[in-house]
Amino acid sequence: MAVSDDASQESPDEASADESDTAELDEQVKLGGEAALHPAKDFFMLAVGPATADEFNTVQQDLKPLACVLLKDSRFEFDSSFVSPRTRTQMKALARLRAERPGAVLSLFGHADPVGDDEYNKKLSGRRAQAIYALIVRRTDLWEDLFSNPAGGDDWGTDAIQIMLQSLGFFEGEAEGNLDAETREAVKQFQAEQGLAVDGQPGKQTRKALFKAYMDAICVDQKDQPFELDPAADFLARGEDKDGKGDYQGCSEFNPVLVFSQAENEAFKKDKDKTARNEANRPNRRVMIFLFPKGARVIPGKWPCPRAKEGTADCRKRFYSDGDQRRAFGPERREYRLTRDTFACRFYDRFARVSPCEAGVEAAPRCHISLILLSNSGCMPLAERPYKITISDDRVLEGTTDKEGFLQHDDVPPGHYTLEIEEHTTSVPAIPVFRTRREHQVPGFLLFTEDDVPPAADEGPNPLEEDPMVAMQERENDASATA
Amino acid sequence: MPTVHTVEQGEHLPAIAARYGFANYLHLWEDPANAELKELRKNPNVLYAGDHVTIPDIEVKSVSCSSGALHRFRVSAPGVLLRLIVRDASGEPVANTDCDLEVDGRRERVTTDGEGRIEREIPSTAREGHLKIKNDEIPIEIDMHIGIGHLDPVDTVTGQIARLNNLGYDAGPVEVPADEEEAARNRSAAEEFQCDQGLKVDGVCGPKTQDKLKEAHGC
Repeated sequence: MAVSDDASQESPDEASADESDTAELDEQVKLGGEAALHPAKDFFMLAVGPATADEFNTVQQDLKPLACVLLKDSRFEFDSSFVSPRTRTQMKALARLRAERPGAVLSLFGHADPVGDDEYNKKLSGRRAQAIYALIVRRTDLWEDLFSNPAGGDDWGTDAIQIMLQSLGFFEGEAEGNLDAETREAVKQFQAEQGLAVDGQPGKQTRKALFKAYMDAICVDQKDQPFELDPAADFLARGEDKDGKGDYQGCSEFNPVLVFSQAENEAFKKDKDKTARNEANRPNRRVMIFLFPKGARVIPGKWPCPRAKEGTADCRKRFYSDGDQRRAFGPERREYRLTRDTFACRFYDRFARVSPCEAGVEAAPRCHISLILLSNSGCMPLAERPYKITISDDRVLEGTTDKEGFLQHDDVPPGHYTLEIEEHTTSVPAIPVFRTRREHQVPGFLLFTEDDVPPAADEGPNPLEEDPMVAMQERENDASATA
Repeated sequence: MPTVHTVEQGEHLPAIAARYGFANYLHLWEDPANAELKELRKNPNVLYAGDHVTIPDIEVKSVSCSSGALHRFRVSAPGVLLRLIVRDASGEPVANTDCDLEVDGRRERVTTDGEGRIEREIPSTAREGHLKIKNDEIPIEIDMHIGIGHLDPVDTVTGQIARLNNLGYDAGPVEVPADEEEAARNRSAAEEFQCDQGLKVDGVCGPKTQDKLKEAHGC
């Protein structure tokens, strides 16, 4: 069964020849772009006040994504929530990230461009998020919902049927949306293969089978094997809400990565042909998949984002106090990766801020490796020892720890790297520059063997434990005995 | 003539008292010379670098006792506790979970109680520690250096940032923001906290926000 990606609209770096797919993915996953790990989490100091009365100090875990996958506008058909075959690359990236972070749980965020009103865009962005969610968990009923209920320009129609049949190798014509003879013949062949009633009509049953086959063809891992995730285990809200609250949502036009200048916007408005405007707005139309740590979970009732099908009221509750200014056209053109001030939704911004997919790898927090290496027990610093850290095939950092076991290397991309020190290896993180240096125990690096440990010194009786009367009597006895 | 001690970062009153030979910090806290400090800070464990503490003269007490006999003197010194309440990302207490707690070099395995609480008596001179908790079921992962006494009062920027961080809002480094990006990060954390607490959302930690911060954080 041949599966082809339509590469005709692609720029070279989006082409999908299988060999370059894997190499490209490696680059993507490490360095950002369309799929990436977030900078390694590091922990700041817990500043506490001791208690002499009722006081206490709270230590609360934060909820932060550890990786992201970006589905650009090109992964969908034009102005539609129908998922293009070009999404295969991103599904492979998703599989790759989950292999690196097993058990990571997902939540999807769809975004629209500012054309159209907030409510319309909320619906549109939600539909795209729903489409991707359905793809990943094989919910053909959710695709049927999108197919049967067009919204404005988002109408899957016969084009979608044709694209799916084409991907699966049944159709070689143009996907122009006409149920012509060639298309009907392709439907018949598909129906025959699937054991369905052969009538050439892409009705509900046929669509269901077609959706499933197409999903299996796109949602594949690097070995081109179909994979699917479990809605009850692999998503942030565990599928507890039947409309996906917590698992997928639409952010309307509230979080643009690119905001035109007022002048640009005026020029676009004057132009009757909106092609240039739509093209310029492309970066804003996207779906972000965030991956959270294994075990992370939200209760739908407590999750601030409204459902994909609902309106924008709850979104506004989480806006920055200057949210509407942030997304407004100003004197200059603004890009999130440069200014970090274009998102109106504070809740989303706090997830996206360090995402290389949203904020760009250049704007990601500068990272460095700053560590105090300790022995296996964690008690002794590994001072004045040579070490080697492998960042990539052509970048290896070498050095010697100082008297305190400390080492530092600047300008390292976020991630974890292998450090070798005297036949021992360990994985060390590159952390954002403002985090304090951390201690790192090297497992297996024992500084003392059992033979080395000196016998415990004889400390004598512990004055806090003995009964003073007895002790004094004993001392008197000793004194008189040796006298 | 009583000495005046200027508080340094990381110092709290029981530690200062111990340094000057007082087993009971209340001798300092209740001293009329420190009434203003007490009024300002309210919590003797959360002072601010630069605060002035008047150290009263040590009253030398003399007691007559017979020699050759054993005499017991009990020092009444209120204990200083390290009290933490651990919560997961959804705010639920992390109950009955093992942790590795180290205070001033002394390490032990402790278990949070049913309310996620860890309570340990610590020497008043303890300065730092480390807390490690890892449980993939909950999930919770904490690997943090503890600065005992490093918490600044809630009416200071650093005190607000530290509490927001402890509460999981990721407000950034515990220092006065160096640039606009850091300041924006502080504000974003403060706004998120205000939103969660049902306060007016403006990113500024005014008196109402400070009260809530203190309440939510515990001190």
